Amino acid sequence: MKIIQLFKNEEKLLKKAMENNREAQHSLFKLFAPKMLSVCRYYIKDVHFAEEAMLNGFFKVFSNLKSFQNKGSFEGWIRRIMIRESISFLRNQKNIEFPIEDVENQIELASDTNLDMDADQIQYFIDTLPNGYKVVFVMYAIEGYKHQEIAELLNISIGTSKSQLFKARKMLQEKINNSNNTSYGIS
Amino acid sequence: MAFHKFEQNIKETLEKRTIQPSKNAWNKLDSKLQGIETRKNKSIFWGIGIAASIIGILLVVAPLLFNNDIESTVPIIVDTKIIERNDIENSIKNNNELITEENLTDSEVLDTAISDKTASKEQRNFTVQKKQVSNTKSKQVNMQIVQIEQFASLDNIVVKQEKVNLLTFQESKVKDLAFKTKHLTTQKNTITDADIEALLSQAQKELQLNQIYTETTNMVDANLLLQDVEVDLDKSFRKKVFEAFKINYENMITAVSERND
Repeated sequence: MKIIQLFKNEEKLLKKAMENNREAQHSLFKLFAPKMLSVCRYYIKDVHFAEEAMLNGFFKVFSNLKSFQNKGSFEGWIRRIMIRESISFLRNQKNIEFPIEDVENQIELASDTNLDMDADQIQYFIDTLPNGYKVVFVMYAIEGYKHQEIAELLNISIGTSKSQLFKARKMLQEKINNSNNTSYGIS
Repeated sequence: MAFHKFEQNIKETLEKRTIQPSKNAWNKLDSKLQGIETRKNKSIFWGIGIAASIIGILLVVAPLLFNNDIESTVPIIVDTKIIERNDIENSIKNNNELITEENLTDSEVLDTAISDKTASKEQRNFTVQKKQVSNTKSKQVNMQIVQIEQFASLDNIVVKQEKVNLLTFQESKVKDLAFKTKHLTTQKNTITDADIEALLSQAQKELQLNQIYTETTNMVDANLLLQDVEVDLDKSFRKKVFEAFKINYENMITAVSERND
């Protein structure tokens, strides 16, 4: 019942927000901003910059609400905008590179990676990745994009996307394993 | 598969996370949104302003551009008095009365002149002719009046001055004719039908000419001229011959009767 009510409320809010009702827009912002800031934070290390990207994203959302034709979920639509906004932020910062390396002879990933960490810890390790690796990894592993979609969005080849993902995984595993070993050593 | 599980764990953990934005985040966004609204309003205002100015320019320029055409189509207003139908009818009635009176006076003059000098037989013939002549004359005058009336009913605008001039000219002609006949009778002590006929035809021609050509405007009335020509054309050759023959025959009869007397 609560889900249906929330859905109805969201629909009403959307209608009002489309009519430039500022209160409705504020309500939608309050509803989705925490989640969306988290999404932007996947890509952007600094939370203030992440918030800036999020605000730009929301600005585009409210400016183009009429182009949302209730196809799919509203959250999914906002999320895609936030991802694009974050990527464009990184591009503007000239902080995103995709080094081309041979993937064929890479070693296999370890299967015994123990992941007993909270979100902040995981985010910390993700932040240590180079931006190219990080973006592809987040888009593929967390957002569920396919290599073709990632390639199109980032203007790279599918092979580059695959190699970036492979290297990101490897680096992340190594870092987490090293961290685990260190912590065990410590404790 | 191992990394798949690893990624699944990462995804699940991160999906649960939420980060509260800063307190002034909404204010920043609100000010941005207001800015775009004011820009939209401004653009609408500018759009309306530009459209209004274009319309204004068109309104100002349009009369200048089409001025020549408008001037050419503006009708010339003539300061003339418009006579209503009742007035025209009254004036025509008065005119008829006037003309009949004139006819009567003419006939009286003729009667006195002829009764003094000619025999009873001749007098009878002459009175018949005189009646015919007076009838034809009154018919012609009536026809002219009817024409005027038709013209007035068609256009519904008659220039009173012209009408008055026409009538006065007719009156003067009638008076002139009466004077001439009187003068002839005093000079010659007799008057022939030919003389009367000549006088009548001359007066008729002058009347027609006066109708066609108005001295005041120096204009020839095209319609009347055409009508006049058409009337002439309508007369067949046969009719014309008969008329000429009739006139000559009447002249001959009077001549013979005069010689017998």
